[in-house]
Amino acid sequence: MKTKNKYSLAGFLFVLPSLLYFLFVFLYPLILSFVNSLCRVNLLLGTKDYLGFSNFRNLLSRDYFWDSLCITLKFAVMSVPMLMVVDLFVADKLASMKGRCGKILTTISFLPFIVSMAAAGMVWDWILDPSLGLMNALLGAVGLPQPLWLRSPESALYSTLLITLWIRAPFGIMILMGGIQNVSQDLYEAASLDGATPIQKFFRITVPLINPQLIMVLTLETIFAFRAFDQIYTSTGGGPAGATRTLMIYLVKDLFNSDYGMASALTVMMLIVMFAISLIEQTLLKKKVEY
Amino acid sequence: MRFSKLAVLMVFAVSVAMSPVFSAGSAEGSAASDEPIELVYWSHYSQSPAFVEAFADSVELAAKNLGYDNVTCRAEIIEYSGYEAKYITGFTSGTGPDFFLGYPSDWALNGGKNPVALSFDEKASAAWNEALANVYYDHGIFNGERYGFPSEGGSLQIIYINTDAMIEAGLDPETDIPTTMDEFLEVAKALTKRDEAGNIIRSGFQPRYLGGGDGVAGKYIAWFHNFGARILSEDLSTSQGYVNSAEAKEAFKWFQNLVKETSNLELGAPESAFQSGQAAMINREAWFADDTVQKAPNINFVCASFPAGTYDYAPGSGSSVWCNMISARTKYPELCQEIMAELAKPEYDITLHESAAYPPVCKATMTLDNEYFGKQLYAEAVMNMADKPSCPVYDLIPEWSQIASMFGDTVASIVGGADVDTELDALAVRIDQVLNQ
Repeated sequence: MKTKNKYSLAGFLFVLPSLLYFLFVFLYPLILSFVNSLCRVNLLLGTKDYLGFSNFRNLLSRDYFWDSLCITLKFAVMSVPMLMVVDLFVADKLASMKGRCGKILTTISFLPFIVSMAAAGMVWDWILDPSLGLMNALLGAVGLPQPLWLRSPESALYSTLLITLWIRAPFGIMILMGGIQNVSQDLYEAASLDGATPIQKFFRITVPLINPQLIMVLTLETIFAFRAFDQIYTSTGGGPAGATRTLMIYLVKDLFNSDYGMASALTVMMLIVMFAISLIEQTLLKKKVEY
Repeated sequence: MRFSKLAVLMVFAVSVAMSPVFSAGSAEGSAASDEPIELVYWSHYSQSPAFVEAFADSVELAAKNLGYDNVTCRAEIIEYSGYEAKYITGFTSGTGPDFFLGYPSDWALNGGKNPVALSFDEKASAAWNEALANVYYDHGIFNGERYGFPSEGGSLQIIYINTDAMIEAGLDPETDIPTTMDEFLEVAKALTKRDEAGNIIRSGFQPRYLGGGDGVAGKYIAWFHNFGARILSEDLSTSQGYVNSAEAKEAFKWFQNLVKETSNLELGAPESAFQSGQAAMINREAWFADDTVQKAPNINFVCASFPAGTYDYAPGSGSSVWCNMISARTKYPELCQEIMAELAKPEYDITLHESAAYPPVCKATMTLDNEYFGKQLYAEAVMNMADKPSCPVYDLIPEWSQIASMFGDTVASIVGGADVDTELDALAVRIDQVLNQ
């Protein structure tokens, strides 16, 4: 065997496990979802009747689908900016802290990310219980109004935002903190000599220079917001009165068990929408990044 | 070229190596030999592992009594959340059980959504048709064939009443139990406790309105049916003119008023409100009696029959009852059929239910002088309801779970104060969007 072929074979063998993993774990389910979205599927019988785009048409004709889409968009529009602001603010503060205190606070701020989202949903369900929960006990103690949190259709979605913020913020904070710590101190010193205020330094130096990290967090949080499920499912089950029935809740609770083809159609639609949003975010914001 | 041949060979080798992982099942088995046979039972009753184990124990006992000393049964609990998907995955991959718990309409081999349940043979069908109490006779039958038997007799909604609250309100727990809708409203009002500012601090009646719509629907449907309302037409083809009929609107308006007059929704789930003494009345299935005794021994209560309205159905949830069935993919179909027939005997009705204090399902055991059933707190209430006509059942169509979710969401909206007419008219449109596809 020629040396070149030997190297090719060795290279192929090294890549093979990853290739197989990619094919079976990522590509195969993806293709299967596309195929199933065009069929009436019975998993047990192993039958697939080709329906064309009927599943998509039927889905789009349902008010219930549009309600879930609106709830998901509302959730995404509120959660993503909120997370970005909190992540950026906390990351900047933590990055500026020196010594043991900074390390302890950084560790503490990362802890919620370790907790499973399902467990967090259940714990927060208790914390936010209107009559027995810790939150209303604290609010009551200082004389503030005590909302119904997860128990009211009006406040349930906002309450799930609070849970999401608690779970997701550490992820963004860590990414952004890494970016901030890599910004050269020389730039800040030069800005100080020029008389820049801390706010000016933050917006003119920090934010532009961590733009790659910001875009990454923005993209990932957007995708997460569209896929949000665990913490909502365990804390509200999609209720009350369907107020927190996001697309993922609709997909898993209502569609998956009764209409696998339509569930696949919704999966494909979500995939396309999330891909498009990510692409737009990456394209539009990347142009502004260059500094 | 040598390279591509090698690649093909490697893929082939990997496939051969992996084949045991994906292969499933084996040749048909026979119980007659002395080789040990392990049957497997799947149930999603994760709230009561003892109840699930009781089925496995009863199967072993039945097998032994039939002369099969080599048969054991292993119970596996499948978590309730998303259990259907887990079942499908198991059945599809060939790792499914011999017996399992589910709705016949979902799993029946003849016309079920996911056809995997074997219909009972002549002997097992006859045994269960003879044994079951009237109210449970239809449950387990799909498309005219029996596919299973109800796992427990606790599916009827029972009214739980705090007797200390009754005495406090000047009511007699022996004689002032409400039997009609009007009486229920009056008793609920009397049991409602307010603070000086007029805020309700103990609900006279606490409804279920939290969580997913399907769960909410299951607890409300009995009220709805007893006003003569239906969610779907008799042929289950439409909801227009049914879920928004005059009877349906009357039922919802009555319930909305009941909640407005007697409930504090801030108290949350009815079960925890009742067990903490914050609600005086709720409706729930029979299992809740023992649950309350265990979790809240300080709460004194009685179980009462569901009140009658213009109609007086046995207060079911609009769905079939969970049934124990046989998988068509079992290696021992004949043995499973024999065991199912044996389990129809009254003595097993006790071993199946005693560990969880659930109501039995056979008419021979559902009597007040039965040693087990007679001493249960819910016995009289269940007895009184067992001979009532069965309420409408809708889960014979695969769209039911989606419709139940929608219906429950509407219940929660109306409980929260939404306009009944508007909500029900919108609901009818939404349900028909699903039914017409």
